[in-house]
Amino acid sequence: MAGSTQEFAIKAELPTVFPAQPGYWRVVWRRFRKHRVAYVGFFFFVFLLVLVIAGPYMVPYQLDEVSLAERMHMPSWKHWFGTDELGRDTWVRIMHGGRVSLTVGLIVGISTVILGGLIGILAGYVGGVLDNVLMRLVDAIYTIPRIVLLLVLSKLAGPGLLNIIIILVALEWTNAARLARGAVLSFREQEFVLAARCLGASRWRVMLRHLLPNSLAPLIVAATLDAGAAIRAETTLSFLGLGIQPPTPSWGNLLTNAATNIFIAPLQVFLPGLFIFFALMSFNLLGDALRDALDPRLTETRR
Amino acid sequence: MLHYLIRRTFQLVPLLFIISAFIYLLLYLMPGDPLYRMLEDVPNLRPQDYERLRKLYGLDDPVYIQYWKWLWQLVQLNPGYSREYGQPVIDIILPALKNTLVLTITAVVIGKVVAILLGIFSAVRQYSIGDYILTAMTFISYSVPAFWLGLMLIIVFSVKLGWLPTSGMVGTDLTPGSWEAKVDWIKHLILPVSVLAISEIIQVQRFMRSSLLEVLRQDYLTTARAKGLSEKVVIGRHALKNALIPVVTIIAVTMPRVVGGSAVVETVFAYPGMGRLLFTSIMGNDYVVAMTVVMIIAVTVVFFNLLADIIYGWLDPRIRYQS
Repeated sequence: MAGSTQEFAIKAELPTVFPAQPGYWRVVWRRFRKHRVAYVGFFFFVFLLVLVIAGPYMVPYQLDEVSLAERMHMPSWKHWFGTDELGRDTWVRIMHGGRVSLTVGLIVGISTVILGGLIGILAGYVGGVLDNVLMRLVDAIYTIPRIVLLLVLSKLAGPGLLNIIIILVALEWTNAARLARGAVLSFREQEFVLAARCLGASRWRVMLRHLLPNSLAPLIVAATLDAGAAIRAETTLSFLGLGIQPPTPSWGNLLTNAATNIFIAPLQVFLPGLFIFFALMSFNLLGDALRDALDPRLTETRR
Repeated sequence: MLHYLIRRTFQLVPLLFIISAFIYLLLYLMPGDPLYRMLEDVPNLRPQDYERLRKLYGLDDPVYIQYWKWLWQLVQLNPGYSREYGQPVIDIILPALKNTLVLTITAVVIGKVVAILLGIFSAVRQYSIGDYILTAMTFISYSVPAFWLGLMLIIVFSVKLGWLPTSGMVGTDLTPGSWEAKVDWIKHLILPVSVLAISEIIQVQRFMRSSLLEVLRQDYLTTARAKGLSEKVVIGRHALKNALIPVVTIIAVTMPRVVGGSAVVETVFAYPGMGRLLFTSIMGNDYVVAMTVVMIIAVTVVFFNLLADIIYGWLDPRIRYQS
């Protein structure tokens, strides 16, 4: 650990007129904790996560347990959210559907940012033809309305959880790519990049070790908002009959199924949508709060 | 300016070309035999007849030849025949386009006007209770999926109250052209128009608010106030003119939805417009129709993007395009 002792020695020589400043991430965490909106969003998210994980075990019914004697029941102590047209317990189905929808949201949110972030950093740092080609591809994906691509691609790929995730990642990486590229373009000519290159760092090292951490802030916000957008897209597709197919429940296809009995049991239409709303709300609130907390221009501690 | 226009218009051609090729390829790769619908009712079809038909319709050509033929016909405004309905695509698209235009233009006009008024209110009364309530409401409605909102409105106004019909465009038991039929038609429009208008309001209200707030901070408004002008004139005449420039641009960019409709909302309300046609044609393997709808949407998107740039330069004297 020669490097760390050297670092330590340099630190010790710093003039003491500058008090120790908290690191960026500590400031971010402090700001995030002070943010009221963040609390609401975070609360919603944890609440949903706990519910979909523990929810199915809270009642004694299986996911596809048909009970023809108890069809279309209203909510009761026995069936908290009532039952559907086959007597299946709606609570269990909504919680399982939530597992599917939240999984899609989280996986897509994280993978779009990894994929888009890397592509954006590559395009911004390498520049030239590569940048041009990648950005024209981004433009083309932006120009065609999202619903057209979603419908065409999901019809082509066929239903299924993995296919939905792949399609959504293939469409939504563009956001993160633009953000990362923009951040890299503003850093590329700065001294710390030049310093790293002078010290013999390879291109990949510059990109991954120096440019990536510096463009992380907008990417984290993008991940949160992309996760929300992915849940919206998945539930929309499932609602239209293209996404997750019954009998596997998803918030979207539960809604479609219930909509056929909207005159008899409107509550069954209300409930899955309410959970979609909670999920979208929590990701949007979190994204908003993170955007405020991560903004490097706001440095509340430097006083 | 003219130079700029011509250059931009020529840039659009390759973009449309790429989009059309991309979509054609995707739809070409879709499962389903184009001849299946035509031949499913023919009992004693011999394999050589099948081959002859494939050759006749050019289906044994390589994909790029097929694409080229299709594109060449499309440029001559001949998009072909629907496999599903056996009718010219134009005869299917025109009524759908008309229905969608009625729906979306009503929704866009109502939505944008309300959004601009609410945005002005929010900006002028910044941090008032009304502003907070509006901001909270737009934020909340942003998280409401359109299909759920549509179904909730159906539950309240059709199922519970029984005031409005759930779906479709017109009741079947009414004589066309009569007074009752017209009232019924408007009743059918109310719910889908509401859903679309609400989504317009969500998008434009916040934008209008921030745009006007930006302008309200500027010095020339202090000058206007110092001249003794009333607040009404300061905001209505001086501030609003500049604040509306970016809003008009946003409105132009979102205009393609007027032509393309909304697949989700039209499906929820079973409204026979372009969005639903796009959805049903993709689902029903009617790719000739789907391609045409997609191309119409793509052309309008590209056209309105260009229009937005032009309007922006025209309204804002600080922007001048290099020729």
